Amino acid sequence: MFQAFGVHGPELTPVADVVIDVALVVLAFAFLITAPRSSRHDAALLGTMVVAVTALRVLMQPLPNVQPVTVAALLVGAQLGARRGVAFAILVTLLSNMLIGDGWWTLFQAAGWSAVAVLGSRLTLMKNGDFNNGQLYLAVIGSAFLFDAIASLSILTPAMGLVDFAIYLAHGIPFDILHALGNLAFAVWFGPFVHRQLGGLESSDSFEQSVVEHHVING
Amino acid sequence: MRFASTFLIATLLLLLLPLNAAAEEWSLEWEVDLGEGYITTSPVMFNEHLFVRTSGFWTAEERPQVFSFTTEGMERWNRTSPTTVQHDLSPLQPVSSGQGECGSWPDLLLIGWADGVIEAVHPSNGSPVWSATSSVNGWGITGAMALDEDHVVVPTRNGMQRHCLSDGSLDFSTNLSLGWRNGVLATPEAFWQGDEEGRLWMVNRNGSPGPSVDVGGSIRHAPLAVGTGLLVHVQYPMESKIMHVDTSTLATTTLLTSGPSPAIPIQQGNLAVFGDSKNITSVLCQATCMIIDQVESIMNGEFSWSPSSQIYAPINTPEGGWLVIEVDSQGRFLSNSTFNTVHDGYGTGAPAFGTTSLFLGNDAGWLMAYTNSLPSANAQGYDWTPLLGALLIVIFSTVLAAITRSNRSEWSLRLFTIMVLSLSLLLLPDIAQQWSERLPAVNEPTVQGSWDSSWPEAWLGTQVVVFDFGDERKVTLGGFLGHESVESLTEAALEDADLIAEIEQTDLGPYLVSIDGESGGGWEYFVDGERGVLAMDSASIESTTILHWRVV
Repeated sequence: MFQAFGVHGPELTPVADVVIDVALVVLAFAFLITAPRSSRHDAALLGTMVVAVTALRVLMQPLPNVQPVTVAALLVGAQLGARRGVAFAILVTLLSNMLIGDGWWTLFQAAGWSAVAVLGSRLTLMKNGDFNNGQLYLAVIGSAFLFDAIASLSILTPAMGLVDFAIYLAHGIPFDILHALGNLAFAVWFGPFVHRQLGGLESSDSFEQSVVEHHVING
Repeated sequence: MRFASTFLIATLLLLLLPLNAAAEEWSLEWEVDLGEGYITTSPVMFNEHLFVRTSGFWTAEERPQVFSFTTEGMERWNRTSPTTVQHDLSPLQPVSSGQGECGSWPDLLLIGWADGVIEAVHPSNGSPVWSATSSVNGWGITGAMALDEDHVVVPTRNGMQRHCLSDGSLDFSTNLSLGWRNGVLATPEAFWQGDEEGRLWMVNRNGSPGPSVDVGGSIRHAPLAVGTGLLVHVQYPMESKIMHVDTSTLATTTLLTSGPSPAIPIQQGNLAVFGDSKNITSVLCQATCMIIDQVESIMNGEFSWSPSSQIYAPINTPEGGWLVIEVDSQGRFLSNSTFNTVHDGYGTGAPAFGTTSLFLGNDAGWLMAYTNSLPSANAQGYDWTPLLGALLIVIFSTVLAAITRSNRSEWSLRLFTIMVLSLSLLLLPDIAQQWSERLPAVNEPTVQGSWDSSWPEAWLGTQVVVFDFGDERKVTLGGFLGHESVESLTEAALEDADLIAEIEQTDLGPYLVSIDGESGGGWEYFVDGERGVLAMDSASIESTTILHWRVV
């Protein structure tokens, strides 16, 4: 439908492209380093998640705006905290765009999925160790619109007014809705599975809480 | 069990929805007062845009105008004749682009003015393509023109003249006698035109006058050609006569004597419908012409056929409205009703029809658009996608119902989401296209959206393509005619420019990956400065278009 998918802003010189990619990698590792420490097993599991979701995104690319990364970023953010969620979002964006097309838009897609991860970390998606289904489904629907709005910022140019940008966003509403439906399907089908896989990793919140408890109890 | 029943009932109701919506209801979509003057001729739909003219006897500052509107009621352009002061009754004549021995032409809107000027303008922006003049005696052109291959035959005040559609050059001008509202009929053998003295003229195809026949009264419409000859509705002081004229012997036969002030008749095959201040009458011509049916009405203007083969006739009374007549192929009037509007009054203009819209104008100068919830029968071919979608709903709902019955509600939700996602993917292209067409386009001021004065004048009124490679490199081509989609025009321009493009077929339509090896971050297009939001095979363009492809 949109002939301009894959077209998200100005063309970058190869140098600028590399600079942006390197900056994103540095940012991702900065978030990982500043996040609570993980074991090798945890790091390997998170790495596996990054590769698996990257592969899934590449595989699902022919389906318009069906984005498995959004749900994954939300769940990682919810379960492992904002920092590891943002790092996950950036790495998946970088890796998958290397395969399906890198450019100016990578910056905005990474920002969009990072915002979704942060959103996941702020919501109470877990209740008694299990999903709060109602909130999860609302969150995956909302995160579709959040990501699409942020990613669309890549087409903004100095010559484009806000009204034109709003019209541009309005044209994409059917695709946003499809994104939300895709998210819902992913959450319903794979949410529990991802939850179980990430269950082995300690969330930043629970890690920080356990550290506090350790100090309090043993202090 | 209750859940399953609910699902099945909901599904059945969903499938029944189209059947319940079968009642035809028109609702006022928009209206606009065109100011001074009457709308005495029918609005015209052409290239999905509306064209209408005002008419009057002008004594003050105001003058007649031709307007173009979108089907949503937004004025696109208007054109005023500063020198016309008499009633403009010549119907607007749209012409599709084409070529012939005398040259090629873009889409045109032909306007005959009462000051004798004939204008051909671009329907997209109202700018002139060519103009010509004709004789004036009190008034100039008031009748309907006739298209004749690569020419147009214009009924002038005192005869007829033929012009090339390409450049307006005069082919012939023939003096006959004075006429008013006397349209011209073009046949493969000759041209026919009546006059105010009741003489029906034949003009040979080379423009030389042929024989004529005197029927008395006045002939104020273009004769109708039927298998057995011609039909004319002749006006007399207190009555009118529907007459048949044998074209080989010029023998006349009166079929019916009816009321005064004849309308402009309409024809569909061998069926013709006439109106006057007393009746609307159907005539069927097979071996002979016969009066078939009549309904009382005061009808002095133009008829039109609706897409569902109803006749719409403006009722020329203070109460006004439009008589809607169901007529069968044998000319029998099956039923009739009146279509009323909030501005009913005297009127002689018939409606124009869009896909699901009806556009009406009356003597008070009101232009009104009504929409119908039912799509027109001939609007487009049947689209099987919704049916396939509905079928999928039935299958999945059944599965869901069965599963839910066994209390495996987790799987019910899973199947439901995958069903909704599948249906959405299936319907997305249609839905997104319909959605985008209803939204304003996104403007991009940095692209070529208007005429560049450095371009050759020969490209005026044609389709122009700009391939913008960035870094100052642009390839601009023009003079394209008749392309209806971005894809078609792009392919033609690529071929002319000897550029090789990589076009990838995707689920959403063709995607232009690269031109001349240049892919950048992709290619995007703009039509007349507005960002394209549809796949290039779905994006339609007008006859006068600037298509700008830009690498990003």
